Amino acid sequence: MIGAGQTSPSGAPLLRARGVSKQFRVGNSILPGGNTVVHAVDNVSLDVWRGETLGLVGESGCGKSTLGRCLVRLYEITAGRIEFEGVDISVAKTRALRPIRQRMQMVFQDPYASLNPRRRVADLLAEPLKVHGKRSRAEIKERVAELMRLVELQPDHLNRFPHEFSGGQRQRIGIARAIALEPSLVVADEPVSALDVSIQAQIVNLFADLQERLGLTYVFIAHDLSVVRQVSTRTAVMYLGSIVESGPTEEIFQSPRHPYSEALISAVPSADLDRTNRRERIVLQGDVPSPINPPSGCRFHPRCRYATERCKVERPKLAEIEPGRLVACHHPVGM
Amino acid sequence: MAASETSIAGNDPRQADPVGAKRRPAAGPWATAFRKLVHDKAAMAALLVFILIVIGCSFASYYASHVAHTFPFSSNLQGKIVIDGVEQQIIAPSTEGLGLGSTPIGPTWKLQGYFLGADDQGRDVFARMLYGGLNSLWIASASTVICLLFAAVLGVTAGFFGGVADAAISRIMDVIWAFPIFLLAISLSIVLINSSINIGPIVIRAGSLWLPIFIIGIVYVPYVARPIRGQVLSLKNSEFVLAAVGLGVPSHRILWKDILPNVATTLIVFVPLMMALNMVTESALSFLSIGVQPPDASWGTIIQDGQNLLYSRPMVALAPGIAIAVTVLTLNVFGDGVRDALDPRSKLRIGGD
Repeated sequence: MIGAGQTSPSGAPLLRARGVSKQFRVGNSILPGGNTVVHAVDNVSLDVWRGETLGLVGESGCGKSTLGRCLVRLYEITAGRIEFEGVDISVAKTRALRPIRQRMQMVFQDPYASLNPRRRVADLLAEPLKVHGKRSRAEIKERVAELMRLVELQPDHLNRFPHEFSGGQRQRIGIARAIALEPSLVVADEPVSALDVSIQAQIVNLFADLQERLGLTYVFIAHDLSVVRQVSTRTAVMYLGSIVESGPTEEIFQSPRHPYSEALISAVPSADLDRTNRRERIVLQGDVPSPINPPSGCRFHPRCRYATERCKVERPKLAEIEPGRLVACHHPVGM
Repeated sequence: MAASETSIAGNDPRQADPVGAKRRPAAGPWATAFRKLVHDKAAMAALLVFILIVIGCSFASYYASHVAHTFPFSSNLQGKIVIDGVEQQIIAPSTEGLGLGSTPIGPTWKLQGYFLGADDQGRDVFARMLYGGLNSLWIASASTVICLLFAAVLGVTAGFFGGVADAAISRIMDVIWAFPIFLLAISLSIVLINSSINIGPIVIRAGSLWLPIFIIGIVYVPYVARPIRGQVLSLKNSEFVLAAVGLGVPSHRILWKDILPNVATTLIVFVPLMMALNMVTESALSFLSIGVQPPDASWGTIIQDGQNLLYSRPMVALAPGIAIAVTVLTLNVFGDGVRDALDPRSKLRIGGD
């Protein structure tokens, strides 16, 4: 388990997001109302505490990658506020943002697309070091070699190009680049989903190892629940751009409170044959609604087996139902 | 390939070595592409033929003054030449049909003079072909450089900076694009060909070769600028550029280190293809007498010279036509090879016009 024993919230969170929304305009109409708007992230509030790993799960297209990119301000958010280490990064200018960028980094999903194919590994890893601060050539060289050791790659592969590496090795390069500036927060956007299962475990272990050594905080985005269960101390479940439930990982996996999390978790194959309280597998009806035209009331109500009239009209707020557990539902499961 | 790599890597990443660590120094994308191009037999054959054509044409003045002893820019209506001991008139009165007019000498197939015969001015067609080839090649290459330069600057500016710059550049490109390319080139040539142009310190005299060079270069700018803009746009949204943004890399450095090296391949792929296209356009303009101006020659003007002699001396028009076809073919084959070498996935093609 990663970061066990570091969950106790003390002081201010490392990252605090309040009411974050991100809308994409589709189409290029200059007429008012001529554009359709995709509500990729809709009014999300979350805290990330120092030293923890926050797992962000949800179906593909639920906006978790967009949220991740908003959190490190790769995307400009449409509404809301994101504070990182006490600084509001959602309004900071590019120049003011640069020192903050050193402290928060991103690991991308696709290790093939996230490395410039025309640059050597040494060059890729030296890039953040060249851009930030004044380091001598020798210092950069030394640091790059150290990074290669940290992510368990051979230092003599430094002169190679990305295409000469396997997917897992490329992801190690991506991780090395992300930790080059010793950030406090790393947002990992589905870092293992493009990899073979055998390599997934290695990369997950590398993440755990680096967290222990460097005291990193992770936001770990994934759609693979078993991966999230393994790596994260806390988990937030996203549905259609909003967080529907968050809380300590084990509690969510043992007793999900939101009907969507319940269905999601029931789909994870269990190796525990003796379990007395084995849950039935809940198959959700219908498809994920379009974020262009989301349903009224609770976004989940068309697919929810507990939905009532109230759910169609009134949108439930994310509320703390137990200490540390937030659920956005009028009828939380088992309560 | 991928499966074998991952299975090796799956055991222990520190040992994983899909390509061999010390067997050879890491080959960059450029070196890999170059090696691939060198091994492309068709492309290399095409390049060889093209180089031979260039070398042949560059001997134009040497050939004219030292081998054929002719000056192919002035008419030679009264001239005579001795072939196999028989003296022949270069322009002989017609003996066929009504016996009206005159017929220039046909191909002698002797390099000492009138290898391909004479045109109706009595000028050595082969010597003119060499001079004309020089002009055609020069116009094709110079206009390619101008076209790619403009297209690169405009395409990268539009794609990278977006917003107003993009809107303005794209609309101007649309305006140029809206004209049929030949019609635009022809109109521009007709308007400009007989007047000299002063653009600041640059003076282009009437009949200068720079006129067709600039006209051909400019009319094709949208054809190159658009794909460049598109590529820059997609690069700008690529994950590695996003990663650079996330690292806090300043945007001029992103442009220089991440975008331009990737755009450069596209530009290189365009070089031979645009040269071929420009050569065809130049020939067309010259054929219509609005490209290269007499007494200068180009393959297009020689075809025009041969137009009236098509029945009696077809070689005058045929030879430069074949020269154009062969040169364009070699450029296209070589261009295909370059494209395959640099990016096998690319479906880059210049739209028909």
